Amino acid sequence: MNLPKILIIDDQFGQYLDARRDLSAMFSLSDETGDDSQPEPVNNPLARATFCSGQLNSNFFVENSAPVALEAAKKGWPFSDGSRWALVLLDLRFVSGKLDIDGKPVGRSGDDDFGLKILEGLRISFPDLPIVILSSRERTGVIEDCRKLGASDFIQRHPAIEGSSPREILASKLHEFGLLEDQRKIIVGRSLSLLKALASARRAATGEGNILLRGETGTGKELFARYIHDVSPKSNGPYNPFETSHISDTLMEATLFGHERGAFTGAISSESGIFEATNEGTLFIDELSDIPMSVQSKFLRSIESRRIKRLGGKKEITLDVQIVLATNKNLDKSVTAGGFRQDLLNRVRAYTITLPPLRERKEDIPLIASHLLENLCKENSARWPRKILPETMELLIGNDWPDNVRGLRNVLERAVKNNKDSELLVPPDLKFESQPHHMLVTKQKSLPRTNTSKDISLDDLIKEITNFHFPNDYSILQGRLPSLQQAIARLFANYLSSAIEISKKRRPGAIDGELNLTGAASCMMGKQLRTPKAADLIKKLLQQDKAVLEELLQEYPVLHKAYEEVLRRRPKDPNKTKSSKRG
Amino acid sequence: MRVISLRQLNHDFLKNRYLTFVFARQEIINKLDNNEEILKRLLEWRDNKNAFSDLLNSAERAFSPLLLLAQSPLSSLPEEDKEWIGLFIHELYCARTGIREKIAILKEKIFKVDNLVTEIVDGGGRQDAGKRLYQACQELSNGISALPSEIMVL
Repeated sequence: MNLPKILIIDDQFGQYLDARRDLSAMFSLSDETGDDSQPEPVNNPLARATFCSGQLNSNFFVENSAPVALEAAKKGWPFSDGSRWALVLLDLRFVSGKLDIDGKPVGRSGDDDFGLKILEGLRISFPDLPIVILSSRERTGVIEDCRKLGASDFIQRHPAIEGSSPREILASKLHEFGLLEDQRKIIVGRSLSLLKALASARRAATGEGNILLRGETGTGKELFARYIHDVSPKSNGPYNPFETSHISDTLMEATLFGHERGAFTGAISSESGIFEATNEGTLFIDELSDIPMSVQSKFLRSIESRRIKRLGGKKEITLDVQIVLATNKNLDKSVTAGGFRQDLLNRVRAYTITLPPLRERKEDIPLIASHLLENLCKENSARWPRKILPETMELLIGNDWPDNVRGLRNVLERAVKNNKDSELLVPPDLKFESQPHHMLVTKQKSLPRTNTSKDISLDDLIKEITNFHFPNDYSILQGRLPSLQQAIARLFANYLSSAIEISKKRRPGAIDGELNLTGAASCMMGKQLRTPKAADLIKKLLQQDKAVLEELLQEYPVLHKAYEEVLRRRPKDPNKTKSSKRG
Repeated sequence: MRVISLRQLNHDFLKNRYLTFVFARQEIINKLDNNEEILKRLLEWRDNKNAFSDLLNSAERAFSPLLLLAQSPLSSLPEEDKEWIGLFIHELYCARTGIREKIAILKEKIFKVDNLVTEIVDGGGRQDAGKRLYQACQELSNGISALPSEIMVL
């Protein structure tokens, strides 16, 4: 089992080994800092801990230092093997000063809020890093400040002896907020987007609610539903998946809710439905949008009240079921089109988890590919072990995988079946359903596509952006403007890149085509522009964010070429030129 | 000699070191069996006990508004006025904060921790000794945290 790695930033435990050994024993932590020559072995450790004092120690003087803490956090964000800190435990009070004969700092009173300064720094530099405050202070006195600055929660270092043990308390915080891999090794990967989705799933898995999984086809919605069941208090109960698309509308109601004898022609005996069969367990309903309108009203009542009536029955049956629903469709659109009830949508989306597509977690592809390849070789009695050549892996990573993990599995399955006796997976083994992105039209590197047109239309994207609701939560809003500006800059560059691609003049012998920037700008504006106007527009789009512009120009030759061209044509800022003329 | 406040001693010794140590080593404390290392750590209490007692003895005056009479502008009052005003506001402060009673209770808690340490060190520990010592230290620490941390102006 991969033990989670946690970082503990604390002046006391970062420096004094005897105190650190006590703390490690208290929370069942294996100390991996590396500065203790006699670390105490811990039975059945909960996590691997690295300690950092958040201080600089020189010339017998100890100075609080946020950069020391940030540097320690950076080392595990991510580690060289791709893993990450699961959690940071952060102290609040840091004592600095000249070291006395016992090696303890004296001469300055402790800085009670230095931990909050570190917290602010961590939040800005590592927005997705979960941070829990570990302090000897009373929770009520500090929790508001800590939460406002982005801490997930607070652990009182000295709990009441009758309550949960420190180990249990830390385990519950790791469960709730930690970036943890799937310990069952079924959902494979350690990318940030996946770990965040897994953490959301664990938080949602209370055993009582309704959880909506959204994600493209092949992103593993059923695996996530099973994960939710396995980590929830319902894990000892039944888990029943139900596919709406595999059943006719007429049978749907009876299958879900059961029926009494004589409820319809052929109902010769009473039978329970899948809701009843899942009592005290988890019901997974795949493709929610396929539930017919005629059943949606009854379905809504059932998931709201956890009470059902069998078809033809009068008695209400109370159930204790955790319900996981999934869709790859845009349910808002289904509501607009009249195929889905608004009240049902409002009910089911109370807790939504969006599963990341494979192209947004490409760092997981080597792990997933190796895992799938091993399983496929064994299932097909093919040769194993089998090495994936680096150039093969490059092709796998380069593909956009519109069908996500399912698509990757299909490609590998074909490769295994066609080459059962090979000890290598080589590029010619890969038969893609669609060409890898970097092999399309141009040989030049183009911007990564985060969505394909079939997943989300441009109209939907504009609607999503326009209607996006920012929550009234300081910790969520804080410090996000720079990344928002960068995202917008990349979105514009992405749009421009596509417009340039489709506007290229294709001529015999010029495989890559010739740049037609006026055509690209006219395409984007929907009207014919003159060349100077087109150049100004492209310049404006690319100059949204200076840092992003530099990255884009380095990474994407087509944009570099376009930018050079527009600067050549329009070296000055058109607005400045105008105002200077006016002046 | 280090000059330290009651609050700082509570944080640096009791909260940061001793409580964590006692909680983590409860099982060993229960069956001490001449464990030299644990014995040494347990006896750190005795190195700090007198400091706690001394600081508690001075705590009644340390947080009293009486001290404000030594500072400007009250320091310019006539001595005879300072005397009766000082007595008056100090008694008022004691009555309003119940500090004398709190200090008396904390002294009992120090006595309790001290007795438990002696019992464990001399008697070699016994079932629940670690738990009882942890609870006694925690009560002492929480009691000190509940004392005023600055001069009370009533």
